[in-house]
Amino acid sequence: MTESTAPVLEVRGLSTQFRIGGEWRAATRNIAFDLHANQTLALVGESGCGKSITCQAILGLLPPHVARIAGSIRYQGQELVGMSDHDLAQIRGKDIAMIFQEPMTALNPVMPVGDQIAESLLVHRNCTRAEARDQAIAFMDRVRIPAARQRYRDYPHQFSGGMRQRIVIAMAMACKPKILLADEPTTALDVTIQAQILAELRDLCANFEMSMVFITHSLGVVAAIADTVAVMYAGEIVEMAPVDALFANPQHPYTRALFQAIPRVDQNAANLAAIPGQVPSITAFGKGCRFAPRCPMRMDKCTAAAPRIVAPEGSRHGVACYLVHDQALEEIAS
Amino acid sequence: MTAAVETATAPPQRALGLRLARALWKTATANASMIVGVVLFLAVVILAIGAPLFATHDPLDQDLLARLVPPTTSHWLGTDAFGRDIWSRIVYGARISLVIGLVAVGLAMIIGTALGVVGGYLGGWADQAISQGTNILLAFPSLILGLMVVAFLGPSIPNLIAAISLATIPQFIRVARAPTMALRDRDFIQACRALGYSPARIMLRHVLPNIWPEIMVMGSLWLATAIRVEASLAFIGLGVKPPTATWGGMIHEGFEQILTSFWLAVFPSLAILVVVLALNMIGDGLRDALDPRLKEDGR
Repeated sequence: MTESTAPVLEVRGLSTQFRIGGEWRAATRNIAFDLHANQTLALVGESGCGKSITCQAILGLLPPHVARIAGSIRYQGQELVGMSDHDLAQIRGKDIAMIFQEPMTALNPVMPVGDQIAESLLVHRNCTRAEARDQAIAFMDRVRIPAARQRYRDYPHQFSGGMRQRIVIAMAMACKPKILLADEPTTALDVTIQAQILAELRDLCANFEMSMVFITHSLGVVAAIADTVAVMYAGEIVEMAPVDALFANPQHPYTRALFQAIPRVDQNAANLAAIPGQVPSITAFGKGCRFAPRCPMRMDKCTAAAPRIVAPEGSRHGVACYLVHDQALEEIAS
Repeated sequence: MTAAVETATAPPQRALGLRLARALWKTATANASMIVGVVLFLAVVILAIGAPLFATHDPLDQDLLARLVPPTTSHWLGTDAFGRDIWSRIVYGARISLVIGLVAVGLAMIIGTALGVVGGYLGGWADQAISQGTNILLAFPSLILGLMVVAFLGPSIPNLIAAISLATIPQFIRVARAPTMALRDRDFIQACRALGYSPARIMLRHVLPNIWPEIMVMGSLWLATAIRVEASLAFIGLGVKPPTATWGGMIHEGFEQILTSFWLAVFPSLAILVVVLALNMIGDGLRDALDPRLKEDGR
């Protein structure tokens, strides 16, 4: 947990806008986080809250004619926002890699899996085909694919979902990137396989000294893998804290509602808690706090202007909520 | 660079070979009409390649003592107004039809597929330009377009190939572009971008192998059309110049005597019919064989 070094990835004021019906609409607003070496940051939130968009923005994968990015994304001090596609391609896969949610569709159906792993080595490392092939087999071994050498020439449809996700991970890891962006890599898998893949990713991060941004909507997965958690709601980070602090003391009304919505074995399953209302559509975002319309503790100023994410002095637990800010001020005053 | 190109093309071909081999095997065991098509087409190809062996006479040799002879044992399909042997002319004419058809469709396939994939993948102004060009070309029936080009350039084998090719290119653009656009947003193509692959690499190595089956089906069907268009152009006098034997030209020459000496026009017509039918049978069979296979892949 050394924090003295500069972060590998520094995101500041990242906003993404999409053109919808001829108008530019803000999707994510003012996203900021630091990713330190060997750390895992989890982005948590429900579907459509901007987790994936944030990851795609980091790699510059959003289609330029319908999406635009403002703010700053620095990888080892190098600004990625506004970098040309050609220069970004040197970083993609080599320094920052990404794995996708759906292992069924993240592999080319008509190419042997081994070649798919070897390809990124051929692109980013100056190696011969034979070297790339040997390294790809080594990586298949590394992610525990049985009989890797024999299965090199197999096609994706000959593998199970969990095995495919291992291959996707091997593809992303092939060039030993510094940062792995994992976009819900376990969501499409069943629970036992999920645990295996999580263990695999943790193991790889430790061994390759890699940082990870891990997107998920499952707080259970967060507890298993993250060092730091950023809770996102409707395109904003509403609360960010070290994982222990967040689980011990969730403060934002949305985070608390999320925790209450976790089904528990000792409760009647017929009464699952839900957060009333829906995530507002991108065209209906107001000036104020985006959770305000659904917030049980809403105040007048919540709808007037958006609260900024603030952490108390000496703490790394930041919350974007006037209520929490006010309480903190009162404590200081008293 | 050559090494990169090599690596970029070798494995997809292997994958494609496997797909086609399996598809063909599956078809061979399930689809009788495709077997008939393949056998007929191969027979014509063998006739064309071995024309000197199969022809009983020189196709250009005039025998004025044996004009308009009906089918006999020495002239299997009879002779024309100059006493030339119809069977030999059909055998040699197969060369012209196949060469023009194969080269024209081959060219159209390469150019059209390349344009379609580039337009579909890149989108934007490149796609706009390609699509509008396609629409303009598609507005003309292929025969009319071929007619315009040949009338402008003059009839010769290269010009005929250019004309038929030009008329066929938009078909391949359309067939390549639509699936490319669908593939562009698929996860594995996004994953390729996230791995920092260049657009050229993604198109060649990842998009192309996935749309090959559609292109192949289209190729076999348009080969039939190309051969028909070539014959039609020859029939209206814009084909390869006489005395070279072409099927369309033979029908043209024999048309006047159709009521007195039917064999002049009927036998070359049958030759065209057989080839076009065979190619359509192959194309339909390929389509039937490849479709379920695609579903099996989970595509």
